[in-house]
Amino acid sequence: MININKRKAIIFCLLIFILFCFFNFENKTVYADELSDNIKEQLENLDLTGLSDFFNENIGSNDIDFFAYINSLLNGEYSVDYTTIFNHVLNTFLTGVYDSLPVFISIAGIAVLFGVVKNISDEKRASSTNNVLLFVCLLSIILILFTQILSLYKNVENIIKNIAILTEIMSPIIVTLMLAIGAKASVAAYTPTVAFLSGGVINIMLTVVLPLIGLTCIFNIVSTISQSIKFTKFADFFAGIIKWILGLTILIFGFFISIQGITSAHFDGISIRAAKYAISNSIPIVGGFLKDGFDIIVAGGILIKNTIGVSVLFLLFVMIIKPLLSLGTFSILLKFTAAIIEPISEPKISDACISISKTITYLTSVLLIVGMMLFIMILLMIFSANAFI
Amino acid sequence: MKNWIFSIVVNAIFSSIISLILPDGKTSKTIKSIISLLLVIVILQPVINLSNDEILLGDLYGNEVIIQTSYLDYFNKKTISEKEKYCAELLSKYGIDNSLVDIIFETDDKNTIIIKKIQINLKNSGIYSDKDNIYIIARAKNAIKDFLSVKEEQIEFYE
Repeated sequence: MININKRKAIIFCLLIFILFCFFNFENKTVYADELSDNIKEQLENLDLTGLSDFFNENIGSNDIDFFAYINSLLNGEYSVDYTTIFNHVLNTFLTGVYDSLPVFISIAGIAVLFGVVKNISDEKRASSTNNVLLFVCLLSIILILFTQILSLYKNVENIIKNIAILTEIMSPIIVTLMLAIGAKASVAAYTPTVAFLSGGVINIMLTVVLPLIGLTCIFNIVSTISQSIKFTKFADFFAGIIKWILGLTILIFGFFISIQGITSAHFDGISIRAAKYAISNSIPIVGGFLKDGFDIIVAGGILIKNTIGVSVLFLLFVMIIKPLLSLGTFSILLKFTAAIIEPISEPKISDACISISKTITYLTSVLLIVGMMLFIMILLMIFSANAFI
Repeated sequence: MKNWIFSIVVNAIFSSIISLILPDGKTSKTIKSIISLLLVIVILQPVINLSNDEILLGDLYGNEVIIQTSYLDYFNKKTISEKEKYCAELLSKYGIDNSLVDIIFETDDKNTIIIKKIQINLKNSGIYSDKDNIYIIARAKNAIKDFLSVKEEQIEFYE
């Protein structure tokens, strides 16, 4: 008798458990479908053509379409294949090395040739001839390097301009989404920051820092060529200005965006939570349902905002990685060539290579700083207004 | 800027060539000093010109962020329709079925929804309660007032 009752009780409990699971699952599926439909509808109403065109233009591959990429991100189907990314980075690096190799071989060839001529000639008699020869060698090496530096300089300049365009394209979309989901304080904090990044920071980099880098490079080159006139102190002076400008820009931007971003996100979070609490408690019957309905609309907006943010980060990575790798390749090869030349040839030639590689370091810093600024800003925008659901 | 850099480079190369050509002696030292002085003047040219020109700072702010108002309109309408749905639900809990709720609203520049009027159409609805209709409507009105945080005058029932 007791056993039958126990069995009945177990079966009853199991039934309740199955029913509970079923209803719970049913509930979640309904919410997931509703959310998915809501996201689709919201995406149809959002103007993403500018970002889509920019994405397709810069990724430059038929394999990835912007909307397909966004949908795969939203559905959680997109996964990062680190092997492919690593292979791509390695391939880009190696292609850069192979492309630059003739340049560095010719530089090393000229330097070695000069070293051989210098060593076999009679020093006392051929001192002035050697000086002329060194001048010609240096001039030809610098001419070869100068074309490369100029192309790298133009490349960095274009990437910075593209980052400004990307900031101007993505910010209205993300700001609109933030405004829609109720992150008013965050919008008030980010709108001037976005304008300052796309205007002020980019202007400073393009009109002040990049020309100063060019000038430092020129002074270094001229000091190497000229026997009597030295401009190393001028180069150091401009390098100091570059360092100060970069440092101050990072400090001002980082300081204000982090303080404003964090405080505004907290302010928005508290005000929205207070509104939600008021809704749930003021109407006991429908308050909970209403909260859920709002949650779905707001969750859709948040998911779209974050997905667009992630796609912009991906775009930024793709835009920056190639020029960064070519700058790195060029700098490493230049230092390697200087190391090879040093024992064989005139130290002036290896010094010229090292001083030019310093210029490349400044170009890399500018690119990294501008990229990092956009990266931090998008990251803060992604993380703000997330605590609303 | 380009002209300035170009003139520095040309002057430097020119001075190097001259210093290579010139034979050692007193005159060569004087010529080299003059060339160095000229080069310094060329380098300082922008600083000399600075006093004549106005210093113009570039625009520190880029283009203004333009909000997509069509999306905001859609989002606000969606939010309001959700509120309308739940108002009707709320009314049915008080015994007023099949009511049509219409919330008239506007938004300010910060996208804050300002509710102007709530019109509740009772043409096709039925009131199912053992209490008086006026009493039910007054209670429902009060509930909607609390829910939407509006004034009583803003809620209008009509048939």
